[in-house]
Amino acid sequence: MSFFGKKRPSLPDAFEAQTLEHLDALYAVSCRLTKAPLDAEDLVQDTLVKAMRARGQYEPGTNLKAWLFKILHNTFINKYRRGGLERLVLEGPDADPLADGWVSAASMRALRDPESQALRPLVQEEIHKALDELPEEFRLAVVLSDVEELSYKEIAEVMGCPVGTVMSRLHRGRRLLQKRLYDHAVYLGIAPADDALSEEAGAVDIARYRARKRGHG
Amino acid sequence: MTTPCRTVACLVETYLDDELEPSQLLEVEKHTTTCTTCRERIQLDRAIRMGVRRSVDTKASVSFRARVTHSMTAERWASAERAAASGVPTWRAVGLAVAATVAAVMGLERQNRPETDGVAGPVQANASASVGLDAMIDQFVDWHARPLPPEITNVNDLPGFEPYVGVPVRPRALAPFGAKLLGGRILPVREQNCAAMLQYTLDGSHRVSIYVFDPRRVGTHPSKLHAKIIGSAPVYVGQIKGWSIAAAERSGVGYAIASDLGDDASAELALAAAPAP
Repeated sequence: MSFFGKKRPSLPDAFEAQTLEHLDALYAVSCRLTKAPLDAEDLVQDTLVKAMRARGQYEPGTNLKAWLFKILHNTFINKYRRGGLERLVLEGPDADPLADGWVSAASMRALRDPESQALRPLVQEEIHKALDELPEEFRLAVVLSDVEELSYKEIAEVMGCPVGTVMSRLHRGRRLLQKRLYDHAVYLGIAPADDALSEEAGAVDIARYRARKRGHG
Repeated sequence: MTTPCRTVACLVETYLDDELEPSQLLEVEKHTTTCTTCRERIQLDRAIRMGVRRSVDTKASVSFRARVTHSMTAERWASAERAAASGVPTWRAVGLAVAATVAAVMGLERQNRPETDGVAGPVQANASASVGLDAMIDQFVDWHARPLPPEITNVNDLPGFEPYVGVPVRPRALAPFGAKLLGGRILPVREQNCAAMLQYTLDGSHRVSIYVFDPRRVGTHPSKLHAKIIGSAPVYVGQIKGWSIAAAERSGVGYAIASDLGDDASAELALAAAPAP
């Protein structure tokens, strides 16, 4: 008899090999989206199976990683529909208006190089927490840009929104991170408390943003 | 007139994202050569991005990678079967893959059962029977011909594969043969088995793949290879699809080698990889 019956498998090809090269990146982003390693694994596995099924839609020569992230994002939205969890984060204690951006020179020096002050683990942990607490759209935009180095256009395709929206999400997400890090630095005593972020440049009102997201704003 | 700090501050983010128009890029770079505050603003943004990068950097575990590879392989098989059943390819590349599959099946059948030449019909009821050693060796040849990137590159990580392979994955060092380990990975073989694949280069010019597997479910006597006695131990050697293959069992662990070497060299390496009983 044949050793394979009639189920002799086709060979893995370049598409599969290249897809697997992005496994770590998919898993890392998935961890930040789901915030749970087991959910992250399921999400990536679903994503890759869908990618295999939809491979005919991938245009060779375009960014495969961005294409895979798009499937991951869509799968995430369908599987983990935004509900109570995000609302809790959005309306929680951190939902205060956010200033847009000026940090004094002294604070910048204090924040910039935490390694030299042996505070890296504390600051790193704070960044981790702050990232997890960002609204999902901000978090994904920041991760895709800062970690995966996708362009604005590619992020827009992944997230299914205009480039302007991507820029706005990136800006707001980064400012939230910066503010959180600044507050932490003040708490640790490495930045002066009176050196607050100024609110002169148009505060980002997260409460209003969330209301709009829910269709009430 | 110089660009004010506030204008530059608004551009810093896009500057670091490498998305500024050339004229704005010049503006920022010119300004930051003289303005310490804006330079520090850039450094702060960079530092935070570095922190985000560290925070997100998470590697998929070996076991998860094996699971994913397995499910992708299963999906590939399922797609090919769906396409064969419907007669309509589900994706563009299926034609190529099916052609390769049919060619491989025809090649195999020609070697083993000339009377079934060219048959590539629907799935038979008994097709899910356990895969034999020959089938596994054919898979090894395929993986050798088109290797996937290694999951580990440190020999000390090899024991991490053992829970998936089911037998010790501790081949002897092949350095005395001039072999250099490039890395290793877990590969799915049918019936939910996994084999460990170790990729080497030999004398810098030959590519050698060594596989460690559990021989219990697949038997120890490959019909497509012929036995060769080296010392007191039988080693099975032969050529498949142009690659030299050798397989041996030692202390309940299966070893196979795929390379472009001759039969004798492959047999020697297979025995060398197997720890002495």
